[in-house]
Amino acid sequence: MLRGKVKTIEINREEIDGVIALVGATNVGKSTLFNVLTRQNVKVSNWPGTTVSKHEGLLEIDGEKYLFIDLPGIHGYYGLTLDESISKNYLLEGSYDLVIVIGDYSDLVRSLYTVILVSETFLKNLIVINKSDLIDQKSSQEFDELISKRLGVESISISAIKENNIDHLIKRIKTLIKNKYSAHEIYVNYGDLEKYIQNIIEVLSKYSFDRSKISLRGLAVNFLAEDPDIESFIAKTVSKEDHRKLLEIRLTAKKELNRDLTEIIISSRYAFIEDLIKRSSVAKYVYKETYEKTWIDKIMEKPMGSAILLLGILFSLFLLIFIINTGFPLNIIFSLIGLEDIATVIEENSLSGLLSKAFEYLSDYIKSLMSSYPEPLVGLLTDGIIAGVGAVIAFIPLIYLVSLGFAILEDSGVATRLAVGLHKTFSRFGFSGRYAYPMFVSLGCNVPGVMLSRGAFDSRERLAQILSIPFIPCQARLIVALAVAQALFSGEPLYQALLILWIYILGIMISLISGFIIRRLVLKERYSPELIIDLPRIHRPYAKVVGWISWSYTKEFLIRAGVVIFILSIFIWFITNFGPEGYTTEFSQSYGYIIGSYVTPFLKPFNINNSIGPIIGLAFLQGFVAKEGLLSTLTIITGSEDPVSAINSLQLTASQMISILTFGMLYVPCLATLSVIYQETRSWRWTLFSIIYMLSIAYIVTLITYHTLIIFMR
Amino acid sequence: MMTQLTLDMGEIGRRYNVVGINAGRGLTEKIMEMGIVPGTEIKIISRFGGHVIVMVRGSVIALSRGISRKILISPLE
Repeated sequence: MLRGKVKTIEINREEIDGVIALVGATNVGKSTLFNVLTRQNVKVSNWPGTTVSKHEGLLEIDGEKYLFIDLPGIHGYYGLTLDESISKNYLLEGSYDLVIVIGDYSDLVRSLYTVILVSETFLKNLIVINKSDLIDQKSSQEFDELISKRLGVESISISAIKENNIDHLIKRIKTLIKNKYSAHEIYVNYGDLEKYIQNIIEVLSKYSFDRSKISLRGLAVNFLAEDPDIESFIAKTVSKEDHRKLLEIRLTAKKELNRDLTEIIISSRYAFIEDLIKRSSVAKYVYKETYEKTWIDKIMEKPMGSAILLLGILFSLFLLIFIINTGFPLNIIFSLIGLEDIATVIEENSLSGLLSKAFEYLSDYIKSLMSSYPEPLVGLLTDGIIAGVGAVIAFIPLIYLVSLGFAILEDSGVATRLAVGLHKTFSRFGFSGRYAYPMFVSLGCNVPGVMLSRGAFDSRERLAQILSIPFIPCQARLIVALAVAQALFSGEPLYQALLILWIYILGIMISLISGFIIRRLVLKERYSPELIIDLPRIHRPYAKVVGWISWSYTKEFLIRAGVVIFILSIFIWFITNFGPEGYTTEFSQSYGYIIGSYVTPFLKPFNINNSIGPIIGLAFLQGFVAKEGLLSTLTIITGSEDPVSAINSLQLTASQMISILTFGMLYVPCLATLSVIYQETRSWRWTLFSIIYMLSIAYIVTLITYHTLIIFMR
Repeated sequence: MMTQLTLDMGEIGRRYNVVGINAGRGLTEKIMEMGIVPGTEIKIISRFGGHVIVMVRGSVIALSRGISRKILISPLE
């Protein structure tokens, strides 16, 4: 299980005997098949100009090398998501030898829709129908034969998870590539549209499209359906005059038929698929009279059922993750019942505790080894570089655990039900239930959270998600909050726990309210987004699949956030150790102090002493890099032993401390998150907006918090 | 004339025929690609929290109230 290893494979295109692209709808088991075929021999990079990750894997068999490319999921052509656009454009460019289009017996009609969609236009395709373990072997064989006969495309039923028929699939892939196979054109009957399809084909046939790969009929149909990627592909190839001619044909079709062309196209495709299924014995698996409700469905139908289910799942998952990762709240519970020693042990032996110990040890060891070398060099190596690597590595278990929890929810089909259950509550704030995914993941780390906003319905919902996600307290912020709680309420674990709870409630509430602000006030949308979503069958998650999903999230985090955190840790080391006079160990002589003092005026309303203003300022600057950096900066510049005594050395009142913590929880996305916000929005305007937006909201909330607190406390 | 109603008003356990979709451009296509096209048989299997859960062509789909109001159906049988 969970065999995760980062392997860099060098791919030399000249040595490759064939390039095979995998496409299919989401949930058909595309990634499972990809992993089974390539045995984790995988390279992850980005699709050019996007943050959508590109998975390439190598299969070496009998001295031959095949390169598999896992294309992002296609749901349909009108979703117009980035993922779909990437897949279509890859296929249109045509630098592959074979396309494997994947269907799924657990959702046959819908998954075949995507299969038809792809095979209609792209001819070098082999249909693979996954999850054949759900039906009897005779029916699946018969269905394969039927498809081959009626569509003219070879079809192979497999079970990726049970690894049934995979060897046969590989054998066929090799043979088809050697024979330079192209499938026949699929002939879906589009009724009244046929006349116009022929007219378009006539125009297109003047041009030299690669007819072994692309079907003109497929292009024509998708042109009539106004598919933007196909349209621009055609526009690039044909002359201006012919392009105008094509647009005219489409306009005439609309006028003469007086019907929505896409409606004709979509219903014809479905009619074609259903006709096919009804001719075969797989029909008895597809058309069931009743839907057997699972226990989860039954709970969700009860009033408050979904809320209770959701809270239960989230609570137990996070409890587990927190305990493993930070020792919280076990440490608090133990010290509450008087077992201080056990509490300390748990805290120090938590995963992140152990990791930070290891790096402390390493850095001390190197310092002692290099005592004869110049001080700045040793400092750069230990406090800059090693601390930077440590900051990245300390996050891996955490990100992995959160991804694991998420992967279990996703693979079992529970995640979609939670999205449905939360929709009503979320829609009051201008989100749809889909916000549940990024929100959940963001509790671990905001970086993958922002990336998950891709599941949003449209660009406006997506923008609202991206701008609201950074308010969700991530694990890095939890570490900061824990230290403040310990400093503030030392020996009072109950108050510590309450403060942490408050931080979570505040962050989640503000994130939701932010949805309202962005959607209603900034984007001026009157209605909340709607939800239409497939409910996949509930099943026990497969360890293999869960392992793959969670490892691929962790890798994405490493690639994106890791580099940024590492580089900036070094940068911060420089500005705190160099000043106008050169190298210095005095914080007050450094550039960092100068930068930090710009913050002092903003601390006026909180009656904070001018002398510690720059310290807090710089700590926040470091927190901008990575939130947990707030603590290490405080520790270094106050010259304290540990974060808790560093916080105490500032001699702040309880109200000031809670206010500063509140600000620290909300003020800006960390740099890693910010870089992903830029990559996802592709807009400096929105990226900048995100900083100013969060700063203003954080400042307002902090002012309110402080002035409320000083009524009750000192 | 056949009685027409919107999907959110349908009864649990009953079968209906999809008659039309009155959503805007983009959303209409999305609904249709999910398999809900005029002429399709649809069965309502559950309803909670403003959602309608339907079975269409062997798939189970959840629709929020706003969307289900845009889908016109008429009872079968």
